[in-house]
Amino acid sequence: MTTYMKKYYPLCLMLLSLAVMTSCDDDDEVTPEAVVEVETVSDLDASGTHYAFYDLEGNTEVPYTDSASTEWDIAFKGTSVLINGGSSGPGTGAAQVVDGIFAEIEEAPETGYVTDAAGAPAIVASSDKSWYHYTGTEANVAQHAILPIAGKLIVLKTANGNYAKVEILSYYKGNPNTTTEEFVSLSTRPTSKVYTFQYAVQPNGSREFLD
Amino acid sequence: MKLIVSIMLAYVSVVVTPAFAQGYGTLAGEVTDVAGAPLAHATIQLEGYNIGSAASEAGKFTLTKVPEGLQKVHVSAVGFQDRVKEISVKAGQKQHLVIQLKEKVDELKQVVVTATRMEQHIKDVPIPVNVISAEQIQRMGSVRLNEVLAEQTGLQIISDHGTGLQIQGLSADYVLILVDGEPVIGRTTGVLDLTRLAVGNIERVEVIKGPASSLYGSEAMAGVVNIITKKSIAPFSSTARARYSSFQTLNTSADIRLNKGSLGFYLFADRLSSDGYDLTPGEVGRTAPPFTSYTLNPKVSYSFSSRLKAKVSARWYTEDQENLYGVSDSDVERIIFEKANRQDWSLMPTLEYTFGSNSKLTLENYTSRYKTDSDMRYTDDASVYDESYFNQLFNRSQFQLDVPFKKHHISTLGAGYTLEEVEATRYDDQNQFKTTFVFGQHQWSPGSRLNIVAGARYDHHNAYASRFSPKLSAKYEVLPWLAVQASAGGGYKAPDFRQLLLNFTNAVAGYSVFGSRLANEGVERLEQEGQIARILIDPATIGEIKAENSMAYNMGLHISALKNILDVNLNAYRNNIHDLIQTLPIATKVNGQSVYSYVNVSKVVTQGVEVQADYKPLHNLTLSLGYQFLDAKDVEVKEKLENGEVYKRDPATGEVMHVKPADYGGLFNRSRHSGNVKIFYDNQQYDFNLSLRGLYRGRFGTGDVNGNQILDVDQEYADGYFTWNITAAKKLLKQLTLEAGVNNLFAVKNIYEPSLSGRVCFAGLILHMGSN
Repeated sequence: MTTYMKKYYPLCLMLLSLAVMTSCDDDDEVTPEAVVEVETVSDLDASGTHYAFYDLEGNTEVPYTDSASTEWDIAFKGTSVLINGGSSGPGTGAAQVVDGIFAEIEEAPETGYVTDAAGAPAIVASSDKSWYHYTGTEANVAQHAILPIAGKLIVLKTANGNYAKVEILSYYKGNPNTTTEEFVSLSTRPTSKVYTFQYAVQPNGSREFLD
Repeated sequence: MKLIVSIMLAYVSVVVTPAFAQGYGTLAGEVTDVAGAPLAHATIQLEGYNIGSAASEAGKFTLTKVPEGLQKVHVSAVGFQDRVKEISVKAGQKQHLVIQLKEKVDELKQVVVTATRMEQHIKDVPIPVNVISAEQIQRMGSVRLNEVLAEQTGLQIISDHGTGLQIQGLSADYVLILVDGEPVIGRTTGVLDLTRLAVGNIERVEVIKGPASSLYGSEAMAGVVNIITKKSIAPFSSTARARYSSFQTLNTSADIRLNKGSLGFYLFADRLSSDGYDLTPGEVGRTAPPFTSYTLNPKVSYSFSSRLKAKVSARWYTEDQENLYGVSDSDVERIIFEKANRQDWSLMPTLEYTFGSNSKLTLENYTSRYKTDSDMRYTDDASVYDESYFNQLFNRSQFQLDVPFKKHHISTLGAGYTLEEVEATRYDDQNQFKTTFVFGQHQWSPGSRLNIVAGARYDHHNAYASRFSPKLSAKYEVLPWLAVQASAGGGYKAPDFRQLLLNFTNAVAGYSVFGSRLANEGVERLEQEGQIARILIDPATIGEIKAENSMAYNMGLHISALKNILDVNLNAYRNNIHDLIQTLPIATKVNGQSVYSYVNVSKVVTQGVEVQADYKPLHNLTLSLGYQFLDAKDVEVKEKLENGEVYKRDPATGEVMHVKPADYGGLFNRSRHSGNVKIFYDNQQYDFNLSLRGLYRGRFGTGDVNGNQILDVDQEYADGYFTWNITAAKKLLKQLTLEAGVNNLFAVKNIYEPSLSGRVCFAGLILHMGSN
């Protein structure tokens, strides 16, 4: 064994140093920085008379009776979106619409957040002004449909002040393909005002969304 | 000159050799053009004899020692068609004859007026002008201007709020439509509906592509279409036409042209009615509603002397139409009946004075009114759904002075004042716009091969920033068969009424739209009423809106090969368009809705190449090919694409991806490729003519389907299509012609182009009396 070691000593040294180097790299990656988990919420019904309130940090729907609390972060009713802060709730929430691809947004912007005000929500419920496009009577798409605009994300501060990114994927039950005959025909189109969205929260208060 | 004529006459009389003993007569006469103007230096020749003469300055000639009996007199003049007149000569008598010559339909001899605001031969103008003659229009069997323009290379008809014209990738808003040099008014969301313009009174249509604001001011940004109407003719001429076509469409029209001495008179009347058609039978209402329209166009001209001429022309048009619409009123489907009328009239007196130095002064006043009324009621209880009106008045007074000097120079100076008034639902009170303008132009032709025109115009407007529009054009004849030309010029389009003046709050949805002039006070008022939640753009900063403007470059060449049998025109263009006006939200209201106004934001570039080739292998056969390549892009979108800031969603998987810059298809509703192929054939033996025209429109973007509002995937395009039109005309009698044809022979339809109604068959009669 000794002779073996002796004989191959330089090579072992090289291997050893390589192992150390590699482990150092590993250490770099596994800093205590954020690993955020991406969650998808399917078919959140926002068609009722009350807003559908959602707790992003707890990944659970909140009853509307708790609307005056900091339990919830985001709420939906029809095309309207509320953020828990300002006129909408007691939280410190604020939001803005950011352009990009969900997975590529690695950091929440430092500034630019707007707090909901009476009649002026941070996320404007109007076609082409925030997250959706209303097709109206356009000839080549499903008419009178609400379609999320590609690359429009909501970046928000939760009720507790943590950063989150949200992408609304569908306004229709079952997140349907919007180009099928079934969707195009108003008589067979799935129920509207039913949200599917994906999101990620950074619980440690930093603006980073690495995963 | 007189000396030459008398020498020639002397020569003629000396060499005349009487064939055999017989009597002689004398022929005295006058050679004129179709309008009765004398043709100096026309050549007169007696067939079979060595007898001839040249007409004097006044077009007069005398032939002596003409043998008695039936003789043929050949008359020719440069730029005019030859003519043979038979006359029975009587011995010992002096006979008088008047011979009218028609202008030769030679493209190089074609007179145009639009390029330089004065009548000039097309070859002397360094700007490409497309001319469509009355004869060509008749051979197409067209009834309305849109049909004529649809068949021209580089012109694209688009049906959206009326039938408009797209030139060089710029939409109908940016095309100036003139009748005898003055604008037709009355646009709906920027589109001037070409179906308002009948073709029966058209002498020719001149089209200039690229900006001409240096002469015409606002709207002449994409190009100018100038309709030159017919004039009086000596001594008398009249044409009547009746035509019936598919969809119960009936067109009847007539004109009278009179000229006696210094007085000229012209009258045109036209009636067109149709049942319209329906491409979507499942839905309420028709794609094209039934209508009836009338056009009247009288003109009077009088020459006080050879120097002073006066003209008055007028136009009146009215159209009634009816349609049904379905609306859902709190989830109940109800039907609305609309009765609508639109009218326009215009009056234009003109005075022309030619000085001894050949300088010409033109004074002109043009007044026009455009009015629409619409009444929409529910069919079930006759209650009013909407009543609206629009009433526009346009008055322009201007003068123009053309001064030719030192043989190679012509200077032009013009100035004028335009007053526009508009009253309409959605506008406050009565609104007035005033524009004062001055323009100048200088033409210089050093040598016969080079021709340069420089010009500029300054428009001062009371409601938006003043504009200065320059233009420089040059043409050089490199070889007798090859000419090159280039131009650079500025174009602009004034903000329209709604962009300046709209004051509209949607009662149902609750949003507000203010024209830029009213944005500040509108937002202030809403703020005082406590309706504003948040201001996004300070309305004080958008008060001074700028006119949309462009800088454009054109380069081309003209080849006339194979002894003029082949004629090729090639033109490349680029338009850099700035300050395009868009609606932007400027504030949010407490009801959650937005306040919108109009702001200068986007930049667009359109560029392309146009080729037109005409080949005449036989004197009675013409083959032609036209093609346009067009690239029209939003500069901001292009930049975003390059920065990777544009995304698309796969509608099936929901996956979001970056859009590659190469996938950008440019502006919607533009065809990258378009063209036409035409065959015209004349048969003189049996007196008929035939034409077959194929029109191609390549695929074009129709709307976004993948959530990024730009044109980038195949599903966002409408397929290209080819339509074929065929027309035949046969002379039944000397005065009577039968015409028949089929438009859209293969009944092509495309849901994105509602003017494609399917196959249209037509037949009609044309009755012509008097001189040609």
